[in-house]
Amino acid sequence: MNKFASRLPRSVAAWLLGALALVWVVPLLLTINATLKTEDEYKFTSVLAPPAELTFSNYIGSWIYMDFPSKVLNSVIVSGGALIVSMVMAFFISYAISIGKHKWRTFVLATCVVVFLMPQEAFAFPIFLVAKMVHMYGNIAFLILPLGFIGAAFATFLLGNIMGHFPMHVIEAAQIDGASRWQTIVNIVIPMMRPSLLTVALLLFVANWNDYLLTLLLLPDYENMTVPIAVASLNHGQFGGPATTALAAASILGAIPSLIVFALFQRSLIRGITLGSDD
Amino acid sequence: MALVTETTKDVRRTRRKSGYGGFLYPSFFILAAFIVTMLVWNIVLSFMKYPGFGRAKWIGLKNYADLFTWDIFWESVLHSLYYVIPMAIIPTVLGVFLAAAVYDAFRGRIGALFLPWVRAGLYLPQVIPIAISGTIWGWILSQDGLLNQLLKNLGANQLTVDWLNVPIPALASLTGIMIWLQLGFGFVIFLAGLARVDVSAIEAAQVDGANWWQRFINLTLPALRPEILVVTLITVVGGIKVFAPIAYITYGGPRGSTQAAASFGVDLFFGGGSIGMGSAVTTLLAVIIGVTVSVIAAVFVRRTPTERGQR
Repeated sequence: MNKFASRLPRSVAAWLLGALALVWVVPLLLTINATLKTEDEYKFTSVLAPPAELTFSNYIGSWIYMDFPSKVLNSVIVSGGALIVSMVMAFFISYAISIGKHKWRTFVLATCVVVFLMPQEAFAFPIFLVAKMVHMYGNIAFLILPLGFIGAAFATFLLGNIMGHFPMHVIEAAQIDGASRWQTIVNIVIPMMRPSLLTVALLLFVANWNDYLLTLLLLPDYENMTVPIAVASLNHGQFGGPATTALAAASILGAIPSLIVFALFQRSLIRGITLGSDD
Repeated sequence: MALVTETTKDVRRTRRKSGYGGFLYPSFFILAAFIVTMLVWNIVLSFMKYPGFGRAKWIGLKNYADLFTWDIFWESVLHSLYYVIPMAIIPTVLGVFLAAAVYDAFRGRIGALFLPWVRAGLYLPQVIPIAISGTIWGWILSQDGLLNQLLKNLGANQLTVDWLNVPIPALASLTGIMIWLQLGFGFVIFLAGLARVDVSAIEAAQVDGANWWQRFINLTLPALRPEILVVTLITVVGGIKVFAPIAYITYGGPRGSTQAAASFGVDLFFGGGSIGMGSAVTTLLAVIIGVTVSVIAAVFVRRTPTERGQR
C-alpha cells in the first residue's frame, strides 16, 4: 500500500475527483432534464432518458404563475439595500480600526465574530416583534435594516482584516502633503481597496439573496417575497397541489440568477471566502 | 476567514493615532446596540408567558423548567448535536483529504483545465439559496420524485420509500443533503490554503522516501492548521444551529424525527403560539454555541505555541 500511496497515480485521482464532482451536480442535472418533459412524459419514461422534445411549458408556466420578475425585483431591492447599509458601516468601522489603528480593534473584530457565529434565531424574534410594533411587518423596506446590520458585522470582519495590510506609508505620504482624512479616504483608500470592496460586496449580495430566516419570518405575503422564499412557498402547498415537474421547474428557475452570478464571478466569490487566509 | 492569520503584530508595531473615533463610533454603536438589544430582548421574552397577543406575563424560569421536562425538546437538541457529524465532521475531514489529493494530482497542466470544474461542482450547493435547493431535494425525495422514479427504472421497486415521511429515511436523507451542502466550503478554503505550501518541501520529502500518508500528516496537516481551525469553528457552530435544511425540507417531521433545536424554537414561536418557549429554546442554543466556541478556541490556542515553530 505504501508504494501505491507514495505517489497517487494522477489519472486515477483525477477521475475519482471528476466523478465526485459529477455526483454533486447530477441531482440538479436530472432535475433539469425532468423539467424539460411534460408531467406525463416524466411519469412514464426513464428519468435518465432525455426529453422526446424539449418542453418549456413548465418554465413558462411557473414564470407566469410565480410572477417571477416581481420576485427578482424584490430580491434585488432587499439584497442591494442591505448591501449598501452593510458596506457603509463596515467601511468606516474598518477604516477606523485598521488604518486608524483605533484601540478598540480587537474588541470590534471579536464582536463581529460573535455576531457572525451566533444563531440568528436568537435575535430574530425581537426583530419580528419590532416589525409588528412599527406596523412594518411584511414590508420589504423594513427587512433591509436588520439584514444590513448582520451583514455589516460579517463585512467588518473581512474588511477589517484586509485593511490591516494596507500600506501605511502611502497614507502617511498623503498626510505629509496635507491631505485631509476625507481626501485620503476618497482618493487613496477607496481606489486602492476597490477589488476587496467589490469582492466583499459580492459576498454580501449573495448572502442576502440566499437569506432564509429573516426573509421567511418577515415577509408573509407572497406579493413581497424574495425569489427563494417564493419558490419554497410553492412547496408548502400554499397554492395547493402535489410536488410536480412544474414545482421542480420553478425551483430551477429560482436558482438561475444565483447560477448566473456564480458563473460570472466564480473567481471573486471563491477568493472572497478565502479572503485573508493567504496573507 | 482570517480569524487566525490576523496580524495584530503589524497593528501594534505602528503607533496608534487618535482621532479616528468619529469614523468608528456611529456605525459600531448602531451595530452593537442593535445586536445587544435584540439578544437581551430575546432573553427577556424567554422569562415571559406570551401567546403573541395581549399582555406578556413574567413567569421567571418556568419556560425553561417546562422545556427540560419535555422529551421533544431533548430530542431536538440531540438531533442538533447529531447534525454536527454531516454538517461539520464529515465535510471537514473529507474536505482536507480531497484538497490534499487534488493538490497532489492536479499540479501541472491537467489541473489548470480540470480543477476549476471540480471546484465549481463541489462548491455549487453553497451558492444556490438553501430555500431553493431544499425545494429541489424535497421534490427529488417525494413519493413520485426523481429518486423513486429512478429506482423504479432500475427495477429496484422494493427500495422505493416515501423518503421524507418515514423517520429513518428522512434523517438519512437530511444527513446526505447536509454533506452535499457543506463539502464545498471546507474544500475550497483548504485548497486555497495549500497554495501557500512550499512545493520544494514536499518534493524534498518525496525524495527522502516519505509516502503520501507521511507527507499528509507531517506537511499538509500542519500547514493547513489555520484553515482547519476556521472551518471547524464555522461548520461545528453551523451544525449545532442548523435550521434551513430542516425548515425547508422535512419541516422537522415526520413526527419530530428530524427536528433540530433552532427549527424547534422557530416552530414554537410561530406555530406553537408560545413566544416565551421559543425564545427560551433559542437563548439556550446561543448559550450552547457560546460554550462550544470557547472550547474549540481554547483547545486550538493551547496547542498552537508548541507547533508554531514548525511553520
